[in-house]
Amino acid sequence: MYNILVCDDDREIVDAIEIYLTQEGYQVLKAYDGIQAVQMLEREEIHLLIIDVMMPRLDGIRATLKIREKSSIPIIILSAKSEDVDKILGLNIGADDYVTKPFNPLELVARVKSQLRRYTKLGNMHNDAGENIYQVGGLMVNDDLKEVSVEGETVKLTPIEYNILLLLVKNPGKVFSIEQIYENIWNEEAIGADNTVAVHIRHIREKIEINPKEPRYLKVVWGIGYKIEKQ
Amino acid sequence: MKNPKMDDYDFGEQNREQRKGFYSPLGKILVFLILTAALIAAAFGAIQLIVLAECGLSPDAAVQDKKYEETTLCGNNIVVQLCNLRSYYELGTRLGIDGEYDPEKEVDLLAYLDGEKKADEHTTYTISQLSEMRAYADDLSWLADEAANSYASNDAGINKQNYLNYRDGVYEIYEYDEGVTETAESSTESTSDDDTKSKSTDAEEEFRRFEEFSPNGEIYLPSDATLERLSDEGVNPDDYSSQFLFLYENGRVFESITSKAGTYLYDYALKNPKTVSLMDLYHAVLSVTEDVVQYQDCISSGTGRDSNLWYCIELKDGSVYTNVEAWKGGYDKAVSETRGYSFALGCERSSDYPTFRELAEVNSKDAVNRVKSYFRSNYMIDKNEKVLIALDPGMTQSDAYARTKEVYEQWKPVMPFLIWAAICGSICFLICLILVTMQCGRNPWDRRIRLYAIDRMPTEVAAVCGIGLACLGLGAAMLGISVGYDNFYYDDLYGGYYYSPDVWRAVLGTAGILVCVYLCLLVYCSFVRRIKGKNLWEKSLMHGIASMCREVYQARKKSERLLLLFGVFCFLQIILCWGFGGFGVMLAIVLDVLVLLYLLQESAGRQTIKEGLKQIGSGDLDYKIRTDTLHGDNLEMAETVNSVGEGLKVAVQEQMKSERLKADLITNVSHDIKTPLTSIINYVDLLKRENIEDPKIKGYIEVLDGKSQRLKQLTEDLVEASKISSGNIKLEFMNLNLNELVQQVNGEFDERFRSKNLDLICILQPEPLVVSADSRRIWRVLENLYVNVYKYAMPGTRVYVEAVRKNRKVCFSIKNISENPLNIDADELTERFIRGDVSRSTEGSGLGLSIAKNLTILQHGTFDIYLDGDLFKVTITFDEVSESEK
Repeated sequence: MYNILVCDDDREIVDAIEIYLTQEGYQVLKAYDGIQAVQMLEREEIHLLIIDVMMPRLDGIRATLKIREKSSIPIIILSAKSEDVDKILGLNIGADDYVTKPFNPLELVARVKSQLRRYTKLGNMHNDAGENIYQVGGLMVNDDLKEVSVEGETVKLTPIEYNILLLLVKNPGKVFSIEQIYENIWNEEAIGADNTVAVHIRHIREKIEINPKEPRYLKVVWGIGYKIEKQ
Repeated sequence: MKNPKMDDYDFGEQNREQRKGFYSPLGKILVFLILTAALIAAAFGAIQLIVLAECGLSPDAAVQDKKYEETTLCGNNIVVQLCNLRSYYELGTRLGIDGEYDPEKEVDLLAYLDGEKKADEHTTYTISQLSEMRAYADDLSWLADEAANSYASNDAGINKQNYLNYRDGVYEIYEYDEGVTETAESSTESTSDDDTKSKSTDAEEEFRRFEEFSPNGEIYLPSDATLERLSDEGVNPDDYSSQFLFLYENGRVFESITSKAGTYLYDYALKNPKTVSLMDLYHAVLSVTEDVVQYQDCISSGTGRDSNLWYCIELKDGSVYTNVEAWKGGYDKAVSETRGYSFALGCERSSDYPTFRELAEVNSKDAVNRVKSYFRSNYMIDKNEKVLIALDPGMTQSDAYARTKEVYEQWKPVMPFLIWAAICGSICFLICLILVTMQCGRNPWDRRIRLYAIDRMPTEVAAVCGIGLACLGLGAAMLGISVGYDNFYYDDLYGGYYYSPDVWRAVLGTAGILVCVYLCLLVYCSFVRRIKGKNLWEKSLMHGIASMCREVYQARKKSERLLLLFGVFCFLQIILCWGFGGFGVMLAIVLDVLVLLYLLQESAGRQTIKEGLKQIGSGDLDYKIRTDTLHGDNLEMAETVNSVGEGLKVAVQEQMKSERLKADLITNVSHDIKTPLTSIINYVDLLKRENIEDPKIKGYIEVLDGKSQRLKQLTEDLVEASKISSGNIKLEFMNLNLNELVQQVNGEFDERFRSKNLDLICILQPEPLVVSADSRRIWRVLENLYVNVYKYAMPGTRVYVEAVRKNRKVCFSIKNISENPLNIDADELTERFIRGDVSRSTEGSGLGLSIAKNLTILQHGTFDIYLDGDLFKVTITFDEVSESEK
């Protein structure tokens, strides 16, 4: 039973989130500004914090900083500020995730789950010294078992998809062009104007990412290629 | 500008009291009276001191407490008389007088001067006669000098008239025979008469003589009266020199006293032309008469018994000269009787070396020393003599000694007071002057300066008047003093002047000085008031002229001013060079150098300004031109430039602020919209989860969901479109392969197109087409285009996508058949909020194409829409990045 603290000055939103989360079986605590959040954190055992930025008395950013002095619980920032700078700021000061409003409630729930899994299984997140086990953040590709899991949850991929993913995961951060991927997988020269690779990539993304539109692992470098982002 | 209110303000009671007292009329009068008193004291004291000094009473004598007989003053007086005495005896000896003065003693002029000469009756006069002749002796001497300097002495025997004729070229012979006159021409034209022949021979001879003769002075022709007289005497004037004739004729005018023989000198000389020189005689007259008169003066100056100075002189041969009965016995006897005198000194001289015996009872050092020093360098009568001098202790006679002693006794005690009066008076006067200066113009009621009518006159006029008045005053002072002078001196028996130290002189002098000072004070006060009232310059004529000039100068435009200055400059140069010669040229050069320096300074100033302009122009809006070395126009320009820079800076800051505001507006507004939108979406979602069976409600929920999603999309698009159109986006350019991109995008839309049965036909080049763009933004462009196609293409049709190279540009085009007819212009489509579906019923915000177009343009590409019937084609081009640039 996880305790999740939701902090937003907009009560309706807090209530809505509460409903979603309690449906998933989490215990929800509520706060309406930064000071309350900090105080609650001190009083209760909280496992995850969802916090808004624009709040009176103490805003989300400063609250996060304060909380991070003592605690390392996962913090998801939920904000209508959707500019890149805002996201970068939020993630830099210690948040683990940044969700913009308006949000897809399912997505939010998925992210919460993901963060909790990561948090609780922290101790287990070591390289198991397997040469053929590739891990990038929460994404694990076990080449021995030919298994792919994202934050503990297994993902089913087609062989082609698996191969592509394996190629990318083996070289995290490196950008592969479509041609390169094609030649690597099919061992043939790429014939022009084929969408195959792009389609496959898209499928992979759909499967492993919480929000394919904002991928965390498999990123598109438009005009150049694809890569797995180093975590 | 004076603030009257400020000046009327009075600063506290105490100050007021003081000022009131000091500046009140009473105060002023008081100071004035003190000034007058001080002035009187000082002037009187000073003048009287001067007067006393003239009498011989120097101020330091007042300090010492001595009797008259002890002072140097007395010594000086004694020495003066000793001189007289000496002269008396000397002259007396020369004149042949022994002892007493004898006016009937006879003196021969020539023998007096030259002891060898024998006395002649014709040149002998008595002493009294001689003293009378003194009156014209100067004239005679002058005549003698004149004759010596001007007239010929070597023409005795020459017929003067003939000679003059000869010289003039008209030669005639005059003879003294009765009426026979003949004219003879030059020898070449002689007549045949015998008489005339002999006469002409004389003439010839005379002529020859004339030719050989050259006079050593002017020829003098006596007047007819003289000639007549000479002929009465039976004398031929031609036998005498011009000098003699001159002397004779003029001497007759002056001589009025006959000699013992009853003749005049000129007749005597006439009768004895060879032996007697009239010139010498006349010179002698002067010498002798001068001596006689001097002798007489000596006598009158107290060598006699009526003097307070007693003397006894005994010569080696035993003769005694004394003016005291008791001392007729000789030096030694006199000395033995000398007792109880306040001044007595014996001097024994042998072979000119004196030894002294002080015989006074009192210590009269100063006087004695003075007399001693006289004796050391002078003897009385002879080198071997014994002299005793003493002052009558009783001062029985009223001569200079007595008088001086009287003055001394009278004024000596007063002198210290006089000195004090003079000094204190002066100091007081100066202090009062300072007080008056402070008081001038001020009054006890306020702090304004009160100017009288005379103070408002132009300064120059006042100065001239003032100087006039001062001169007047000075004249009055001089008058006062000189009146004192003229009226208060006396002859004394010494033959000189002495001044009576009467108080009247000082009084008159003081009065004169007082008048002078008052007048000067008037002028002075006027000027002080002017200066206090700051009127001095303002009211002067020069100021008027200067300000007029300045007005004229100001009123002119710049070019006229320049002309004026240049004219003045040239004029000055001309004046300097012409009028002052070499020095003027130097001044002119100095002037030129000054002008050059000025021009250089101007140029340097302009340079500074140019620098400043350049700096500001290149973007440094904070640059300020330094104005401390600039003048005039340059200064104005610099200040203007600085203010322009300021203005620019402010404008730029304004611009930036407005930009920031705009950006903030977008983000803030969008944030404010998104927050309630979130709630709407969330609750709609919750509604959906409620699993409501009622289809009607379900329908409502559907509608709510759809619209709220659309609203979300719209908000995001709007924000993006705003950002793009206002240029608020930061682009990161990199080289990317368009082929790769197209393939990626194709992959993204594969499913969606398939769901609408849209057949995607893609034509790509085998080699990479590299462009420089921002990867995310260009993806957005293509995404928008593809979404556009997805939304509006007729299902079941083909979509053509192509990327080619054309003339070093990379072109991407996408074509599709539109589901709905397009009744709009291509241009309008890219306007914001324009949608192909004019009814705006379907999904979409109308911003897609607008955003795509703006993003393309931002990345330096071109964006074109081509519409033909149902064909919808979009072409975007970018510059190709060449091999070398990769």
